[in-house]
Parts: sequence; C-alpha cells; structure tokens
Amino acid sequence: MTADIASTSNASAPTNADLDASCRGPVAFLLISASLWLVAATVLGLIAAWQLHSPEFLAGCEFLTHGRVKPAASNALLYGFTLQAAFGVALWLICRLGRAPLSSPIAVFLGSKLWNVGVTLGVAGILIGDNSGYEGFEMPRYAAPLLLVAYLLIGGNALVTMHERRQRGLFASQWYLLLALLWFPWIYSTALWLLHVHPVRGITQSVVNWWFVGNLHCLVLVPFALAAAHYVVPKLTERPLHSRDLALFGFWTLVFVGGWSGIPAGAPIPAWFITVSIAAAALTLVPALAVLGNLLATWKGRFGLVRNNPALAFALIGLVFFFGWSARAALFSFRTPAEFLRFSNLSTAQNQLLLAGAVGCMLFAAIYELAPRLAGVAWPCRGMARVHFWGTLVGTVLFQVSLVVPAIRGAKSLEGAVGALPIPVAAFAGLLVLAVGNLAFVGNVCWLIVRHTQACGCRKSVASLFQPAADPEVAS
Amino acid sequence: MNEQSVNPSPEMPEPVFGAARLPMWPVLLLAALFFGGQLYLETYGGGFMGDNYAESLKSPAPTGDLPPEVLLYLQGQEVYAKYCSACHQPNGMGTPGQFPPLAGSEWVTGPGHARTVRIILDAVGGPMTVKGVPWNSEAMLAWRDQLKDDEIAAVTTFIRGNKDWGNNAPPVKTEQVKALRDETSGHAGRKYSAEELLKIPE
Amino acid sequence: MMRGAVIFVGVLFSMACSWAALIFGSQVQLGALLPGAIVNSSELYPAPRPGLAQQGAAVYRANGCFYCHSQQVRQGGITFGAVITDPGTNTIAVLDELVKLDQVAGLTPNHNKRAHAVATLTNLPIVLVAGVGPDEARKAMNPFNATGAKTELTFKNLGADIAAGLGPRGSVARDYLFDNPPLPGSIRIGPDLANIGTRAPERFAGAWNLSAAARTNDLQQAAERTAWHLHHLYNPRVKNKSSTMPGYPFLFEARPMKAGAIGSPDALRLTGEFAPAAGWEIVPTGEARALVAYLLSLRHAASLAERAVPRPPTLPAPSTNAPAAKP
Repeated sequence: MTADIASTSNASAPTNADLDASCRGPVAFLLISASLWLVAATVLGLIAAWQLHSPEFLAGCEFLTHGRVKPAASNALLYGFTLQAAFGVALWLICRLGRAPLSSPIAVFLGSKLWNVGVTLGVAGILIGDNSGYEGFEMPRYAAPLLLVAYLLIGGNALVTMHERRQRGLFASQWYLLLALLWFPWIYSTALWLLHVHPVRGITQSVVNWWFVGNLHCLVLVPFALAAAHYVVPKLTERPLHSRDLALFGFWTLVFVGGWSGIPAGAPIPAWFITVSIAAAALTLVPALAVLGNLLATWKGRFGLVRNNPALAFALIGLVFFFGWSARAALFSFRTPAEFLRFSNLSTAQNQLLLAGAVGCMLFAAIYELAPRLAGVAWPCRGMARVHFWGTLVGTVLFQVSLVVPAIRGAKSLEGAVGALPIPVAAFAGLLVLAVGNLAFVGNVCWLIVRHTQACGCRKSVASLFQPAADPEVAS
Repeated sequence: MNEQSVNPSPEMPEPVFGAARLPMWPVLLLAALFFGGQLYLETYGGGFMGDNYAESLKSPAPTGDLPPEVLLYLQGQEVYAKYCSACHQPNGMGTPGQFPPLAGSEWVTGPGHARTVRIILDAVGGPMTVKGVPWNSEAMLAWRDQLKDDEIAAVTTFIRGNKDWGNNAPPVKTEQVKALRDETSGHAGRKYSAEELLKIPE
Repeated sequence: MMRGAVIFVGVLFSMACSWAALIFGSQVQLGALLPGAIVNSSELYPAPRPGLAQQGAAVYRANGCFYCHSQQVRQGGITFGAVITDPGTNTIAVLDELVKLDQVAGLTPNHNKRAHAVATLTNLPIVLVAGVGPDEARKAMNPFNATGAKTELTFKNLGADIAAGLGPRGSVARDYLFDNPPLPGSIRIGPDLANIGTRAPERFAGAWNLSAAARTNDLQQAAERTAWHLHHLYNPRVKNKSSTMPGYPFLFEARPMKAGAIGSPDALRLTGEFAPAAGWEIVPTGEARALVAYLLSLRHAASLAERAVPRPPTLPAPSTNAPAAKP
C-alpha cells in the first residue's frame, strides 16, 4: 500500500505532472485571488480594529465608518480569501487523489472570475451602505446570488471531476471535500431564498441566519480544512493515515452532529432551538477528538519534521486551534456560562480562532504543499514562510489570550453580562503580528509566481495555462 | 536563494489508509455525550413547544394575571386533594357502595350552587339517588367548621367545573358561600336529607 | 463501501434532518406569528413602526450599528412571591398569621415577633414570601385570605440582563415581528438597545425604573431624549468622555448660520472642542432624525402571555388618618 500510485502498472494513468498541468490555471487563479483578498481583508481588519481604540479614526468618512469596515473585512476574509483558497485546495486535491484531470478548466476559471466579481460587488456594497443585516451573510441582494452561480461552476466542476476519477477508492480527504461541496450550495441557496427572495417572518430570519453561519463553519469550512489536514499529515510524514475506521467515525459523527449548531443561548426564540444547539456543540467534541487522535497517531514520533516543513507546521497548529475552538464552543455554549460570556469578546475570539486559526492554518498547510508542485519551483524564501508561521502563531495566541482572559475574569460581574470589556491593546498588537505574517505569505506567493515565469523561460499566454494536459492514453 | 534550491523538494507518494482498528474511547465518548445530550434535551428542551421560552417546564407562566375563578379552581384542586379525595377518590368516581361519585353527579352540576354548598357545609345523609343509583349512607362529614368560605368556594368551583370529570357547571364565589353560610346558620350540626335538599330551588 | 453514492445519501439525509428541525420547525412554530394581546388589555403588540422609524431602521442597518449593539434582553426564569396589599379589618388574625410566618421582613429570631409584626402592618405591601414557585406562594397566601386580608401573587423575572436594568422581561419572538431584518446582534461593545426607547439614555447602565416607563408618552421627555441621541450620534464624546463609539458626522450637515447669528432651533448645542467654526452650525439631516426615531421606537417592555412584566401590587388608597402607603 505504500507504492507510488502514480507509477502503477497501468501505463495510461496520468502522472502528477499531467494532473498538475490540467488544474494549474484555475487553481493558480483561485489562490492568487485569495491572496489578494487576504491583503484587502487584512487592511480592512486593521482599520476596524484600530477604530475600536481610536474611534475618531476615519469616522468622518461615511464609507469607512466602523460599522461598515468591520463587515467588509469579515466578508473579504470569509468569501474572498477563505472560500477561494478552499476551492483551490479542493480542486487540486480532487485531481490528485482521484487521478483524473480537471474536467473543465475554462468553466472553473469563469466561475472564479464571477466569484471575484460577486465578492467585490458585495464588499463595495457593504461599504456604501447596502448591508443586508444578516451577520455572516451581509452581501447585498445584487451580489449574493452571483456567488451561488459562480459556485455552481466551480463546485459543479469539482464534483464532476470526482465522479470521473480513475482511482475509485475514496481517501478521507475526498469524503470531507464531497461533504463540503454538497453542503455549501444547499445552505447558501436556502439562506438566499429565505432571507433575500422571500424573507421569512420576524425572528425566523435570524434563525435562518444563525443556522446558515453555524453550518458554514461546521460543515463547509471545517471539512475543507480537515480534507487539507488529512492529506498533508500522512503524505509529508510518509506514514499511512493511522486508522481508516477512526477516520470514518470522525467523518460520520461530524456529518450528523455539525448541522445543528449555531443558535446562541439566550436568543429570543423558544428554548428548544437553543438546547439543540448546545447539545450539538458538546457533541462536536467527538469528531474533533477523533480527527485529532487519528492525525496525531499518524504523526507520532515524527514531530521533528515540523521544523523544516511549513506545511506540517501549519497543519499542527491548525489542528491545535481546531481542537481549542471546538472545546471552547462545547464549554461556553451552555446557558450558565453563556449568560456572562455570550455578548463578550469571547464571540469575537471564537470566530477568529476558527477562521484565521483553525481553517486558515490548515488551508495554508495545503497551499504550502501544493503551490511548489503547481509552479514547478520551490518557495523562494524560507524566511518569509517562517515569518508567516510565527506571525500566525504568535498573533493568534496573543489575540486569543488578550480577549478571553479578561472576558472570563469579568464574567462574574454584571458588566460582563451586559457588555464586552474594552478591547485591550494587546489584541490589536496580535492582529498586527498576524497581518505581518499574512503579508509575508502574500509576498512569498508573488515571488513564487515571478520565479515560475522565470523558470519557464518565456511568458505564457493566459490561454496556454488552461490547455488540458495531453491525453494520457495518447501520450504513453 | 541559490539556484540549486529552485526546484521543489522531491514529492512523497499520495497518502493511503492505515490498518489500525477503531479504538474504544471515541465510541464510549460518543455514547456518553449522546446519552447526556438526550437527557439535556428532555430536561431543558422546554417540551419543544413553540411558546415556551423557559427551558425548564417546571417554571410555568406567571399566574398573577389569571382571572379569579381560575385561581379559585386551582385552589380548589388543592382543597379537594387534601380533604375530599380520600373518600370521593381523585378521579371523582367515589367507591361503589360506600361513597357516591361527584363526576357527572346532578347534585354537583346543578345550574345553581345552593344544594352543593349546603351538602359541604352540613353534610347529607340517608337515602338519596345519585346518577340513577340509590345510596344510603351517613358517612358524609360536615365541613362548616373545618373549611373557610374561600376554601368551600374553591372546592365547589373545582368539582363543578372539572372538565376531566365531565363537569362543566359555573363557578362559585366566596361571597356567595359566605351569604349561604349565614343564611343556613340555623342548620349547623344537623345533616340534610335528600328530600329536604330537593325542596330547595337550584 | 465508502462510495460517493453512500456519502451523498448520508450527507443529504443529515442536511434534510437539520433543515427540517431548525428551518422548517422554526417556520411551523414561529412563521405565522401575529401581533398578540397585551396581558389584561385589548391592545395588540407589536404595532408596526411609524414611517420615520422604518427609515431609521434602514440607517441602523446600513451603518452596522448591530456590530456593537445587541437588541435582545435575556431572561433566566421566573420566581413567585406573595404580598399583603391590604390587611383588612381583622388585624389580630393577620398578626397571628404573620407571627407564624417566619419570613416577615425585618424579624430577627430573638425579637418580639408580635411587636414587629404590628409595625409592619402599616408598611404595605408586606412581603410574605419571595423567590419560590407558584404553588408555594399561593399556599402562603391562603391563611391570610381567610382572615379577610387582601393578598396578591407577585412574580419576578430573573436574569443578569434584567438585574442590570436592560429591560423588565426577556425578549420574545413577537418583539421582532415587524423587524425586517431583525438585528438582535451578537456582541455588546455598546449597551443593549432593546428598550432604549423607554430608558432615559443616560441611565442605560443604571437600575430599571418602572415608573419612568410610564412616562414614555410625555412629549417633553421625548424631546429631551431626541436631543440627547442626536448629540450622541454626532459625537459620542459630547455625552460620554470615555466612549469608544465612533461618531457619525456624515449624518449631519454644517450650515452657515443665518444673519443675526441666533442659529436655527434644530442646531446641535455644541461647546468647547466640539463646537463648529464660528458662524457655522450643525444640523441633523433626515437620516439622523430617522435613526433617532427608530431608536426611540425600540421597546420590548409590553407584558405578553409568553413573558409577562411584573406590576407593582395595587394598594388601597390611604385613609386620611393613616400614614400614606408606600407606592
């Protein structure tokens, strides 16, 4: 079971180079767009965080008031960076693991373009005041449907490629990718229909909103991240994934438990919705622990590899953050702690730990592995990768500790119940360190592209990037 | 960044599954959390009702604004349980041969309360017909001295209006009981007979 | 075994279950909600917002106010109690019952219970029991009812939000019936705004004052609150030096003052570092007025069947000779 699958006796099976060539264009476009959105989100996020310290900063400008910059930053991060990076990683993983070339690179490219148009319109719309009012789904009515159409092109293609795979057995990553690729259009179209097209009545809009965001976190972003982790860890430690049964267990428990979370304690709706979400949050510990146990057992004894391999380093901290996120969600969603912590800075910290911490790091892990393969050249600057890693780790830890410790300390007072304590400067410092790391990453990506075009020796035309690989049956 | 490091490091083979068996601890953890989750849902789920914002069914809606006859009914339920249910049974069916039923009894559900309250105040004894069945008992106790006006009004409201028993007669107010008590003060200490009661207009 | 089809079916099933319970279930239970009667009244609650306040809701949403302010009051439960509102004429029996009750306020174990009980008779309402379930409270009331005293069942809404004065009861689904979209918020960097329409704004961190709620129709109060909110929106530091809320000067316009330098009555009264340049005045635009109208329309304080608001017990009118009963 350890033979290189690409060199099995079947001579017509595509090689890694063929597969990479088939998806290079679209994946590169997705990852480059994601990086640019990361820069935008970082800048907007820093502005928003600084405005919490110095409220007069840019307050006179209508388009940069805090209430508009904050959702613009979070949407740029979620829809601009995280989901596009996830799609890029997913496409590459599907091609590589299924041993089939990407079925229609042009369609994926068009979809990515449309996605970017949609996110740009959405973020601009938020800045000019067309916020839809739904947290996590703020894009206005004219931008949100574009994302669904774009997704049908990208995700549809991914599913077709998976369907046409030559390697019929499915690896753990492919389970998680199938889950995420099916779940996203379902929840997004439901939210679109019930919030924009035919808005439901009153507080049920908030129930749909909370359901959408909870499902987006648990059953779209987390599976994309876990798919990346399940690929990177066994591959780079050169060990088989410890237990297929445990991986199955973790997958199916996530599928059946993750869809119920999201309704916060104390919400103005009948009590049973909240109780169901609390039970789901506690039960999410089971897949988190199963995945963690499986991957750590795979890794055992080879943790030293982290030192020289940024992909493994990011995978490790991503898994730790993922466990921290799910443990905190399980502990603090119960009604008693939630009474004092729900409206505190803990909710900001939870969001950051998931998006930039867990999901972000595991996606970065996959990107650090796949980008050199696609580009054909190594990462140009190890130093920048190190800055990225340490910036992410230190920044996230600083941000988390500086928000969570005062929130829990202040939780016993009424002030903790009725309001968040002022954001300490340490939290802003944490965000700054994180930003430095992200910018180092983007710089590295740009340099990688430059090196790639140099190594190829000539400037390729855009069209040539999308030519599918030469038909393997003919080539061999 | 020298030229030798331009090429990416050699690639490892794609990951594959290992053969370790499923350990027991995740299964046990899932079972424990699932069981706990069910208990939690049952206790704190508010009965899955659409108008229950309190997670525990044990804290009912505030009754401070209930109409007085409903409050009286609820009080009467307690009085009945304490004093009457030993003989007339919690289901109001009595015991054949010993204690007549209250459920569906014409002595309880008459249009007026005059006979019912008199029975409670000074008791009834001797031959009487209840729901077509002949009875002859001296077991009924007089409650004139044991129960106060509001308690008698409450228990009368309860037995008259208990829909579980099939009774749906109008409630009785405390003032009405007080008036009747004063009116019948001469009858204290003597039991009524069925003919005597039947002569009183409802 | 783990073929694509198996995963597809499993995922579809799980999707369907979570959708059915949370989305469809919420529609079944809350989707057809209509305004309901206020307790002990025939008025329906909620009523749709007046037009200016509707426009203000759009301004609130566009400027992302809900990223710092929540609009939901949480409640933890209810406890019941009983009070005597009128000791009636049979005071000896009432005193006997009070002495039997161990919980007359102010009694210590060694004190002459009777003497104390006499003193409490004029201190209405007399608390018989508090913080218990409804049955226990009613049981405490029964012996006093028999003496001819008038008792009343009271209840108290529990929870940190209510104790902090954010509202007299927790928010329920009906409160958001005419909000499109509802903006319950998820963090309280600024105070909760669910009842800002009934609270004097400078007291948003203080104790809930029930009698102030009764004055919401007072035009003078409304004018003062409107002025406070307009100044606060222009620059929160005008009203609260340590505020971290951003200002919204773009909701206001600077106008040159008319000749005579009296200034228009609409202008904000700004002094010191906040004052505009000489000869200029700051006037709210329609958006600012709409936003303030929206804020003043925010109240989740009506007593509903699903969550009621405690009323002070009804005490008898004081007689000419007796000392006045406490309101």
